[in-house]
Amino acid sequence: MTDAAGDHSLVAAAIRGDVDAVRRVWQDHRRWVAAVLLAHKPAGAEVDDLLQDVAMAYVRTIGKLRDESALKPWLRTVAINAARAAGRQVRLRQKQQVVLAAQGAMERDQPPPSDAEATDRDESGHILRLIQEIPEGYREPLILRCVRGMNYRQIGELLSLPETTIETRIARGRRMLRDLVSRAASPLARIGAEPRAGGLP
Amino acid sequence: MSDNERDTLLSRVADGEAGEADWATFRTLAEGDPVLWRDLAELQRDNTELSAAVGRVIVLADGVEAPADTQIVARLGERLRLVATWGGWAAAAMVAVAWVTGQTGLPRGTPSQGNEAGLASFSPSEAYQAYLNRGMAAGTVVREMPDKYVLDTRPLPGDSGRIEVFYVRQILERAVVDGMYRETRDELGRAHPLRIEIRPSQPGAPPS
Repeated sequence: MTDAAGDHSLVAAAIRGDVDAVRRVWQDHRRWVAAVLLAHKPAGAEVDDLLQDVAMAYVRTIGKLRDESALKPWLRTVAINAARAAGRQVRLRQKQQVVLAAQGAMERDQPPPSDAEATDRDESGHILRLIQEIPEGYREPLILRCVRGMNYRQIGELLSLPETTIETRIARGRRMLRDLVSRAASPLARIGAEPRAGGLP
Repeated sequence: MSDNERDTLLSRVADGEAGEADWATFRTLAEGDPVLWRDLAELQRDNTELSAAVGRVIVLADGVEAPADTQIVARLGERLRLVATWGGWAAAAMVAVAWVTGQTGLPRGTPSQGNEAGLASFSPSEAYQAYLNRGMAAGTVVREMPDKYVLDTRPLPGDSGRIEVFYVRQILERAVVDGMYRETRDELGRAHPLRIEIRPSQPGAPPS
């Protein structure tokens, strides 16, 4: 990430419509935008698809941004909106599938995924599936902490929260993840596994 | 130490954010609670696994570029299309105004300068021309733009066949200021002026 003054002048140029600046600002921020999407996306939606939507919305509306310093919260809102829109689409598809299934029109003889595919998906997605069970307020800072270069202060700026709150949420989020990992590893404890949540700090 | 304080301490250590006081607390706790080391190891293992998994997803972002060229060209194209449409119609409307009113936009004759007290004796057109002349002399008026924008037209009552036209004249004015500001709002909604940096697009070129 660039320093604050350089970042602001680059963002100002992007707002004015400088094509190169528009591109560079996106490149500076797209990784954490992907992390926000990962934290908010519904199951079944792909981060790179959603990221394309966010990139389009960013280019289309960056010129309307009034204040350069508001870029990050604004971009986060654009990402969350994209994730929510995807959530609505997923729910709509699920409803349609239920209707189709009820009418007996659904294909029943689709081949199951091969063992190799299933194992691969399990290994890469196991912890990401578990983290989806953590409340959103803890999940987002915890995922953002995994983005290289994002410290507590930067996450706090992005989420408009004090640094101490971010630290506490990350610590509690990790505790919840540990509990979920332990329960997932124990066959007896798989039923009714709930993260120890409590109120947000 | 509460569970939350213990979790925060472990998290801080795992993130490499622990200071001297944190490490002193950690050592003291670990002497009486060997499980602390195991908890730290597990937290670091979870953290490594999560970071790797998140990293595999967000690296996809590097392949997603902002479609700046296509979008901005499209946006500009749309603006140009609107301007062209509006401009063509406005130019046609201007001709119509000139034809209907029988004048070319500027009144003939120039009133004497420096005697605005006698404005009452001028026609509106002469007073308007006086404003342009005085403004140009003082440097506050650059010129009147040639296009007039027709806002509305309607036939006058009766059967005279005459048409009432409402239109906008544009005057290019000039001002010299110490700085330009834009209004911004802070998190409490209070307005603050934000100075705007202005750079010449062509250094030294005056507006033409």
